[in-house]
Amino acid sequence: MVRRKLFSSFCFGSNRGAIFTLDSIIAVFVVLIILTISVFFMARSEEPSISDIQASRIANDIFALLDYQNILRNFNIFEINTEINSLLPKEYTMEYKIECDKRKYDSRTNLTTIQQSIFSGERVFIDSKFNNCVVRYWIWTK
Amino acid sequence: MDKVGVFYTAGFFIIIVVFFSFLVIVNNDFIATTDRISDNFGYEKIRNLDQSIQRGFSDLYFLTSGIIITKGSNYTSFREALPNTLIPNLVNNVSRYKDFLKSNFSIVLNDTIINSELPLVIRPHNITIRMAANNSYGMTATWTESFIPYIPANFTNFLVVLVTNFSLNSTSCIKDTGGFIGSSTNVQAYGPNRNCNSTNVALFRLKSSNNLVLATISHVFGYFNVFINTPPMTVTVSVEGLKKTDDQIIVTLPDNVLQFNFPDQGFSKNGTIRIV
Repeated sequence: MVRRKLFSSFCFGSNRGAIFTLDSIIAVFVVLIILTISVFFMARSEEPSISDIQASRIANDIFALLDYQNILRNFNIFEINTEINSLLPKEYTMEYKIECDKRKYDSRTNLTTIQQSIFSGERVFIDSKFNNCVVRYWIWTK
Repeated sequence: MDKVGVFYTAGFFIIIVVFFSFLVIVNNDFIATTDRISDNFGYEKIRNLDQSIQRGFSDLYFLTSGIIITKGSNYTSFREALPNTLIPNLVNNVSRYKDFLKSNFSIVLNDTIINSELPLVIRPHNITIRMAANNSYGMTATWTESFIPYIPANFTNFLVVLVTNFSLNSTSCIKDTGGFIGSSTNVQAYGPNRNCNSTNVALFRLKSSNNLVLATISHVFGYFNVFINTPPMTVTVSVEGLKKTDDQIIVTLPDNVLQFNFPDQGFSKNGTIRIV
């Protein structure tokens, strides 16, 4: 009888405010956990992931192929662009800059306006006139 | 009721500690993962750059040296027309390439040994061939082989093909000393009028029909030399019967000709350049 009275007063009596307070603290706690985890994963999504290496690899493979096919060596920009357009997956955009001892070409527009993560790389090659050249490229998802 | 409050407080404290511990662990894991990904990006870029530098040098070597290198499943051959007037051209291009790498990437190409000796290494057999460099008429090969203690060579023989404009006769190929055991040298000589050949030579001379010494060859344990006494002559030295290994046969420059140093990424490396 005494026990039932105590229980009743705990649940519905003068301590009811404390229960509500505890309940709301737990609720706030749960909301904080959800918020923290959300912010954590949102921040994480902006960091480069392993899958982003794929973009870098695609760009390097394309320029390696152009090098091994001697297309880079001839410095024929039209041919280079045609090959890039045919090889580059539609999900990506790529810009590049070629600098040789005596000539250069830059396909870039304004990279600073791009919101996505940009991945870059570079490759050395020798052109048909034995000039030392470097091609630098930037790739990102559309 | 007082005890219930204590339990509540302790309970919340434990939950909060567990939660924050979990958060710290996940965050540390996240930071470590991000670092590894960044490292991976950096290494990929360096690897790609390394490969393209090697290919660039290989192109330069093939296009401007006048030295032709071919390889098969168990042989590698090196051909050079002597005197090789293209060597100064190669030296000049390598020097420009060195400056280009230094100024663009802070990569050091050690061109001293390349220019002075034109060394090439057959790997994984570690046979070093030195081509005839500027104003030189000799090609040498060194490898590991000895009689005592007995260390066999990891190939069977050299085949030397000499092509000369001088006329030859039936006694042009002179085998002064025959080979004993171990690796051997076989010679084929081609003149405008006739050919001759000798097998398993240790000391060999090629003479023209008017008794002019055109070339001499010597072969001892671990050392081989072909010297052109009377140029012009096209020399092909093939290393035949290379023992099978799990690795592919490649021809490179000696070790440590290429030095990478990227302090930002905490990365440095001494490497070689693959030619074939």
